[in-house]
Amino acid sequence: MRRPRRDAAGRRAGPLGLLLLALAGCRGTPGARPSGEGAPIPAHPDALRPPPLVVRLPEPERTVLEGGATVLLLEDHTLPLVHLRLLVRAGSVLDPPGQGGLAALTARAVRACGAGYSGPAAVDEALDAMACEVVASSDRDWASLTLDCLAEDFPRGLSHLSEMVHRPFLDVPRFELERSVTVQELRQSLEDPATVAAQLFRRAVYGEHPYGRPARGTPAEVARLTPGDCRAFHRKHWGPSGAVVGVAGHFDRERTLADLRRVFGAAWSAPERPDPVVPPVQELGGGWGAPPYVPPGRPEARVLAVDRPGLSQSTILMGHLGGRHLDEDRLALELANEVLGGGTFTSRLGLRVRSDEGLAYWVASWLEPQVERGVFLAMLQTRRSQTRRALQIAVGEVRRMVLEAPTPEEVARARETRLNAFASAGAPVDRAIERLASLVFHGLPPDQLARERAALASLGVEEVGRAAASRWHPDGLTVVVVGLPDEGLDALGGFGPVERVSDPLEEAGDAETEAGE
Amino acid sequence: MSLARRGHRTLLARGIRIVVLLGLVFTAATYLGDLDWRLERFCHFRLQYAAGLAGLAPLAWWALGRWWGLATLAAALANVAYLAPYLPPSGAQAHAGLPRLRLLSCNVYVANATPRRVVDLIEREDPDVVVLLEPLQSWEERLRPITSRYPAVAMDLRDDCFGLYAATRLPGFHAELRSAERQGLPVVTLRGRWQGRALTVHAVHAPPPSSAGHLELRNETYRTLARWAREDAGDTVVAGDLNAAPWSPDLGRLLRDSGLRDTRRGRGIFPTWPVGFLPLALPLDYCLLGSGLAAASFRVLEDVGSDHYPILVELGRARGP
Repeated sequence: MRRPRRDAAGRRAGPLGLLLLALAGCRGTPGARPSGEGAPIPAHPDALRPPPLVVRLPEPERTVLEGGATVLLLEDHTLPLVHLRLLVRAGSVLDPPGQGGLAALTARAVRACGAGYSGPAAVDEALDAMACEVVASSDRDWASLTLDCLAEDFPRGLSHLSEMVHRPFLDVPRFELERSVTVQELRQSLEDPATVAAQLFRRAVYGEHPYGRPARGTPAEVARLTPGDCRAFHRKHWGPSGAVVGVAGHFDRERTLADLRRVFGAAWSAPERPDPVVPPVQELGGGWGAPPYVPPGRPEARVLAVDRPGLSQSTILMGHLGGRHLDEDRLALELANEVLGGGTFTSRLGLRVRSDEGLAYWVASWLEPQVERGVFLAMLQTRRSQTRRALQIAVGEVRRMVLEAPTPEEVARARETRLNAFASAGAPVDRAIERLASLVFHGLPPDQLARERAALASLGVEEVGRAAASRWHPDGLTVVVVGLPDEGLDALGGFGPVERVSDPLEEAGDAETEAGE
Repeated sequence: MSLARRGHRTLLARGIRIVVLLGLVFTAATYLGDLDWRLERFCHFRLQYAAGLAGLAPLAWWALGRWWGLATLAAALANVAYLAPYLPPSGAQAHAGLPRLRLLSCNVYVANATPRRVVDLIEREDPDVVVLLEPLQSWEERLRPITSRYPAVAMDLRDDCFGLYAATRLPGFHAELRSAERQGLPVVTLRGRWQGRALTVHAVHAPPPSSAGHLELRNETYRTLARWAREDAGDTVVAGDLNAAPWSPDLGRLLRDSGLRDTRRGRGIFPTWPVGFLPLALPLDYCLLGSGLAAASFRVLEDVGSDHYPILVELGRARGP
């Protein structure tokens, strides 16, 4: 007998009804209605009164394993997922001279070129079968592997990651492919004026220090790297000393800790691995001193200009050496930066350069603290006929930050922005553990977010103004301009000695030609 | 017969049919290894197929009928045919009146937590030639008592799965580190003169067939070893983990192309992997010999914390025709 049509419709209505019920439930989630249940809609958005912000900072459990690796566990049973991030002290700062890009290519090869007894295709197939993702990345101070998988597959995913960390295979054909892709990516990245400006800026402020080299190397350097180079680098630097493993999500604490102990504990201790050391940054151009920042001199202003015909805009990057993660006044300086250029639309740079003058669509300043001294930077892109004008205003705003303390309203707004950002510090949980792992990796405690939140609340105009005045030097800015002004180099006068430098894109092309010959 | 008993019998017959079919399919797959790397791995487990199918044949006859029973038996015999040459006693014999050479080969396992047991075993057995596979960088210090007593040593200690260490105390021998395939995985070659004839020992760990790439590397290693064996002056020995069962077609090609003989032939199957799990037992560790040499004994030694058992082979001059 045929079933009546309404039965089939009824079967469909079941799940549909549940979905509608779920959506209706979502509408009623606390916090979704800014004015509370049944509140009248105000006439103007300014009259909206949101409920008080509830901030729950993540509180990870910290364990130091035998061998030196630190484990952070952050349980969250909302979804059946687990996220792991491993950070090791194997960043590009440890690249030997002439082998730029070694750390980055090693991280890439560790992930991509097979592990243990398995070749690259077998590893990829096994991970794909579990919908498990392992991603490698690296920067100046660190190299990293992340693992994302279903909770039930976490032990197997961790096993694959363990093989990559301990026994990367470095299959030669895949290695050559990864190296070739890296070279092409690097060549392509040099077509971006912002990347070129950043490279020239670092070379200028750091000189021969490893921080001055491109983190992923140059195309010519990477093309010369061999599997043996990467194997030796991995053996030397992928150790437990200073490593941090952050795990977040739906897992059983005891079992996961036992698994992590097995993978990253005593078995990872190898006596021949030296503790990696980042060489101290040497002052260039007169310098302005190490902590406590009593400068013996000032950084020297200079302008580096790259002609790239065909660009309709000039890319302007300016700044000088900055601070470390562990600097005491880092938070005050971050608030100062929020006032100067951290908030794109409400900052001084944003209001002057973008809103008042209409010189740039985007302008910002930021701090890049590192293990050793990082950098303070500001950047904008503007029409080539307006390069000088935009530069004058941007430098002028840095000067104003040094000469005039920010107003209480500016500091209050910056502080509120930073404090409100803590509301999302615990979610999503994978980003939370990544942030916590990064903090601990840089020597900060796991409760750093709570400390920062408390410290931010107590920072006032005086501390913020003092940090800006003592750490920023408008007369010592290194300015890089990619895409010369219409008026030529003369338009860049008055900001320091102007030097025309060769385009890294052309240098890469020349190196390729020489290699071909 | 009651309905319940008939139902049980039907269920049992269905189960036997599935297992027999699996055995037949696996046996058929052993002949298809050249088509795809995934099929290659089926050829290694003939011992398991032979035992399983032989045991199932009477059951299949009883539960499914005569033709099923005969087919199962035929499949079992097809597998036994590959095992028969290894059953004793028919191996080539070493000359009784001449000195013997003792060779110990051990895949120590990359995650071995007890290197001391390996060193103790070597000191106790006191072989003339030592071949260790998968030793880590950190083993260099632990192997120093061995290294100091063996004048010819070459090693490539690695933190991946392909570290290699080989040493001999035979006088006048020298050790050379080389590679047999494009990946650059290490092979150690020991050369010298023994009992008035040139002798070459190649210590090798061929990659496991865990992917198409690895299978190709393994077979490339075999091809190079075969060429080296043909080119070597005097006698040749190949020792180590070849990651294939003796009845693997690829290993058969190596033996055919090189003229080497497997010391297990006529002596026994001697599984060496995996330690502690008999149902999957496979002989993966070898001592292959040129025609001028023969084995006087072949022993599988005790567990040293590895997933492989070590082997100890006593060699001598082969008896003349």
